[in-house]
Amino acid sequence: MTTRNYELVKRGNGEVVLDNEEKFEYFEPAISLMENDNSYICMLDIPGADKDTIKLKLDNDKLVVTSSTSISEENIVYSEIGNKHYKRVFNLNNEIDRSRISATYENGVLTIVLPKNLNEIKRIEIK
Amino acid sequence: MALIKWNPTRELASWHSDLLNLQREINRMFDNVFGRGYRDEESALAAWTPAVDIAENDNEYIVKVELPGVNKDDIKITLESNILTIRGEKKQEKETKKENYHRIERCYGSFQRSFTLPATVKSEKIDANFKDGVLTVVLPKVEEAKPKEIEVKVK
Repeated sequence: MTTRNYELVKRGNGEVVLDNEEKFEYFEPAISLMENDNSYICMLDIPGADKDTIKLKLDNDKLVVTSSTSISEENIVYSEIGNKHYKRVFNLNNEIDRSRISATYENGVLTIVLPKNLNEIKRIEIK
Repeated sequence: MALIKWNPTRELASWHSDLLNLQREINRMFDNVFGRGYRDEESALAAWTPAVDIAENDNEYIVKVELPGVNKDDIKITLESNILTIRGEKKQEKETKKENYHRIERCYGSFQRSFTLPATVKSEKIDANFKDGVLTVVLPKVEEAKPKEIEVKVK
């Protein structure tokens, strides 16, 4: 029986992060992270991202999602959006079956489905 | 210890600039509380405010609004005596009973942004396009509002 237990974090549409190591400024998009019996589902708000630039790199325990937008900068008088490099890193645990991770992009939202390993789920009964 | 000439006016100048900085900081804090220094009117009923970019050239205004995950049918654009209003609602995904939410940073609910345009636009020629979660509204200016070149006659 799952209980509702979430962290509602006021981040608006995301945060700008300065990566000191690589001297690179990027924009961390806001996410909605959900879990059901079969998988984790992560939705990221990345409006305006070029489909061709969306990359998901899997490195053992880390899933790195990157993308970028290219807005024409002509004649801008007021800017809150600008051009963005989206990046977000997720730490995966052993529950996740790395070979079946999939992602779809629709309407500015990237939805990543991370299925759980079917035999890893153990239920321990309390006697 | 070396002797340094004491310049009293220099100290005063630094206090003065400190005061100016303080004033600027307070202004900025007010801007942050009342919404990042927007120069538009916002509805107190809006749950979240989308980011915008505004561009202007001789012929038109171009307003881009970030609305990821919003359905096209849930967006309303109105123009009333030079005030452009974009409002609507971002609906939450249908939850099945068996889902456990871990973290919600994305915004949901109603949104609204309004802008007063300095020049009159041709309301029947307004074009709106929604792609990849970005709404682009193009508002052509009326002929009288476009800048005119004045010919210089040389005698």
